[in-house]
Amino acid sequence: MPTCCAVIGSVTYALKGQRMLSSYNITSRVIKVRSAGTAGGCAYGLEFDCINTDTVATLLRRGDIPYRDIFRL
Amino acid sequence: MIYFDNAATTYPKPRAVYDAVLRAMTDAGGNPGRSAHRLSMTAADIIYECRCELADFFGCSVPENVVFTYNATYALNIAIKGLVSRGSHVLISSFEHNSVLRPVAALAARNVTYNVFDASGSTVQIINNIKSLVKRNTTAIICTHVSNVCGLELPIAEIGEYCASRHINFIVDAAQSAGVRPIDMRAYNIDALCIPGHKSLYGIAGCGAVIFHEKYKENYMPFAPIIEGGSGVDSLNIEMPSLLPERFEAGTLCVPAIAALLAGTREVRRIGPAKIAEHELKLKTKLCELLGEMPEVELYLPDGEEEGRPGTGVVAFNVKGKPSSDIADALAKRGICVRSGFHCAPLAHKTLGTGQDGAVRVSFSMYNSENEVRAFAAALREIISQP
Repeated sequence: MPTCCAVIGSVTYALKGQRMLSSYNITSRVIKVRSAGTAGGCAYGLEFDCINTDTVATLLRRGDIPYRDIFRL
Repeated sequence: MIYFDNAATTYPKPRAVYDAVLRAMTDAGGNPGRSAHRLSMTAADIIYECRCELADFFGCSVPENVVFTYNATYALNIAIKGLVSRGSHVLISSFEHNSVLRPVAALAARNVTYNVFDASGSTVQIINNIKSLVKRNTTAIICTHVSNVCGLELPIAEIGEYCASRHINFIVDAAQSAGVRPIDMRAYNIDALCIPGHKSLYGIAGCGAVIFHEKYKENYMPFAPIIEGGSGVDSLNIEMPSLLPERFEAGTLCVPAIAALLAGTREVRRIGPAKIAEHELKLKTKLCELLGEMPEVELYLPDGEEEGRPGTGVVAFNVKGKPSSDIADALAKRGICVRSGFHCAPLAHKTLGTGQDGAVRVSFSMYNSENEVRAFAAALREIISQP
């Protein structure tokens, strides 16, 4: 299954996002995003099944969890 | 040994706290928020759980507004120095600990002035005292919830209500009350709540927190960081991150201490803060009754109880004609642990009239008993009877 990543930033928000997605039965994994792929250099992201991309984006926005980008891994 | 110095730090801790510290060191030995391997993420999970627990306990719906520090003093410095701007004015109470008085006094370098409001007397009197000192440029009221010297409880709900009505920021030092007195940041309009991990939340030394009101977020944050350093995120940016909590957490967090705080807080909530408070106040009543039978003993009892401000299990006293340090020393020789002197709170001692020599302070925890109180009284009687 192809996986995607939502670039969140801090581990705090990544964990908040993970728990929030889990409450909607969406499984995700906290990962460190490739440094070169982020403007600030270091960031955490949430890896999830790409089939959930639109739902994840909506839930993160609704949950006030800022994300910088969503891309396919 | 009888340990009656819980206002300094509680001892012993619940079994769950010791276990949590050991587990944090063996299973979560990584640096949280730096890597993504198991040890780092396990540590990060513990920290996030603790943020959630504290936010829920103190009436804040936003766990990321819980910022970990080394202790309540650091938390107060972040809140006070991060908020108070050049040329402004603040109010502090007449019972403040040096962890409030010193940072406020140091702000004189930024042309910040301050006044001290008398916090003895009725709630109405205290609010009137505050009103008489507020100026146009008053930015904040900073006060302790409970005095570390005598256990006096200030009316923070009413002070918070007044602050909200006047758009004045309200910073609360909850070092002596977190875990034993109800604190609802939302209801009390507290902008920043500063707590230690190692007192009535039964964690260990090395951790505290400043909790910012849930209304504060990235684009609405009047507090600025006072410490800069590594945050684990946005390393190429030379400024601290804009989002909480990392904005205020430079450097490595003390994971074992935060794990202890999580376990301690859960234990306090399981037992019930009201039940713990009732137990400690019963011991205080018993002690005051026994000390009241000794004519040589002078007790310093605060007001407020009849107004729904019962305070905490802290008792300050002196033995007439004997320095407080001599009494504490004599008690220590008999295996009884108390604290003497000024308790880092010169304002409180000035207010109580003990500014010359300070006082002896007894402070209880949920682990103390009435038998210990009786043994203390017997030991004190023996000390007093000696020339």
